[in-house]
Amino acid sequence: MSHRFHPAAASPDGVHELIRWLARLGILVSLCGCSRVAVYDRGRLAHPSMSARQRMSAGQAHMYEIHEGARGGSLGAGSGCGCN
Amino acid sequence: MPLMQGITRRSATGRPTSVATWRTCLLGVAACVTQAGSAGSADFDAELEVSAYADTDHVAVLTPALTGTLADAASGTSATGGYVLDIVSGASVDIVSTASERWLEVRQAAELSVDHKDADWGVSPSVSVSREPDYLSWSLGAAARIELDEKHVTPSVGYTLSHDTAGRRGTPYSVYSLQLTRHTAQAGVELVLNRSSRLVLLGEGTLELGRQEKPYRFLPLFSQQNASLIPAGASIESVNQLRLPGRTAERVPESRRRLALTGDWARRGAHDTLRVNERLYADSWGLYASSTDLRWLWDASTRLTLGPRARFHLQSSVDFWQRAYVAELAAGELQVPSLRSGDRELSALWTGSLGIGSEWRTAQAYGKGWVFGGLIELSLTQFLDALFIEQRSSALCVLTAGHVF
Repeated sequence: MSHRFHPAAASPDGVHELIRWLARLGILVSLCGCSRVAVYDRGRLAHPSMSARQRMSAGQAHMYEIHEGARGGSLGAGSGCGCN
Repeated sequence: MPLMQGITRRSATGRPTSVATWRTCLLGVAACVTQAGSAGSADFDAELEVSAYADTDHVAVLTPALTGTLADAASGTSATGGYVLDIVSGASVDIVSTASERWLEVRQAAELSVDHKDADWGVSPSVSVSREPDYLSWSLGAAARIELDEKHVTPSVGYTLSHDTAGRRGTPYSVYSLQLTRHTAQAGVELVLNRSSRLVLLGEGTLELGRQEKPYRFLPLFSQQNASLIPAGASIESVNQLRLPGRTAERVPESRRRLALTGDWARRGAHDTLRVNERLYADSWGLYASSTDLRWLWDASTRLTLGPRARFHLQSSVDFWQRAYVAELAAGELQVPSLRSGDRELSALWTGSLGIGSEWRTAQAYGKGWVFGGLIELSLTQFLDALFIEQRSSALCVLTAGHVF
């Protein structure tokens, strides 16, 4: 059966390059700048869908854990949205 | 132990679910409801979730889960308890290749976490336990955070200690067991970017010490000449035709250092939320990975939310991965590679997933009332350098019903 994705693309060198590229992108995004937001203007940030705690079902989390050799980096509780 | 990792097990018979555990859980929920009602200032929500998973490798999983949260806004304290039951049935190609029967197994897991917030800081201790007939795992953890710069910047740190004991079904742990200890440290920061978007950056390092082999996993061995004739996805018949007599047990390094860097960006529009999550991963076994998760949630009405989601995961293999391990006869003994694994989730692969979810609430604007949800997700995994299988398709269906009191 022919591969639609060449094995070389998942070699350590290929993944290294991808990770470097994504890291640069992440730094660029985070350097875009933060603006001051008044407490009374944080309604959107306080919306439940913005919570840093990932809303992933138990079955979904289990599936990803099994399908992927990588582990960790999931978000815990956060509270920078201005909500109390 | 993640249940589906046990797909190489030869055979096992499931045991009935512990009625006592269910009873304890339900009594706990009832107590919380009573407490919340009498306290007046407390909110309580409970959710029942049922997930069903099936794939083309003949693995099926049914996962009911119960979660309850009691929150007291006046004191800033909330407690969340959860109970998960995994019922797994497997007859994967690994099972078939060792002429074993389909197996059925049950895992039970429970967790409890508390979150307390006082002024600008918060702490969140947690504890969890997971049990299978041949596996026991527990963990203890705590996280702390502080809100700085009028809540524009919220750094956080956390630490979790966990311990796993793996055994063989029917054999006491005192006779045979593999021990694994895991130390996990997290540090992150949540940044308010503007009035509608925020960014979380998180680093997590894990040190694993102990044995991680699967006691039921045995690998075929090949001569140098035949190993080169084994293509990716080689059939059971081809492998049996070319392999040497006998099989060898899996053996992996006794320590593993993992590092994950995660960025999570979210933006709230007038009627929708866009979330992008990227995790970069590397470990001391030589596995590098990228996992990208996209979600869009659209408020179709004040009660109904719909949203597509997509995920793509790409990884390299571990350093010691070989599709066909070579054994050589030297001085009358069979020499095999010192490190070897048949876990294809340690091989080079990619997985793409597409799904759509929905949530319907009886109350407007996320108020108190019933909440019903559904999710369907389809995935395709391409194994680039593994025996027996090249592709796996899977489907996950999740239904939830919850109530906010």
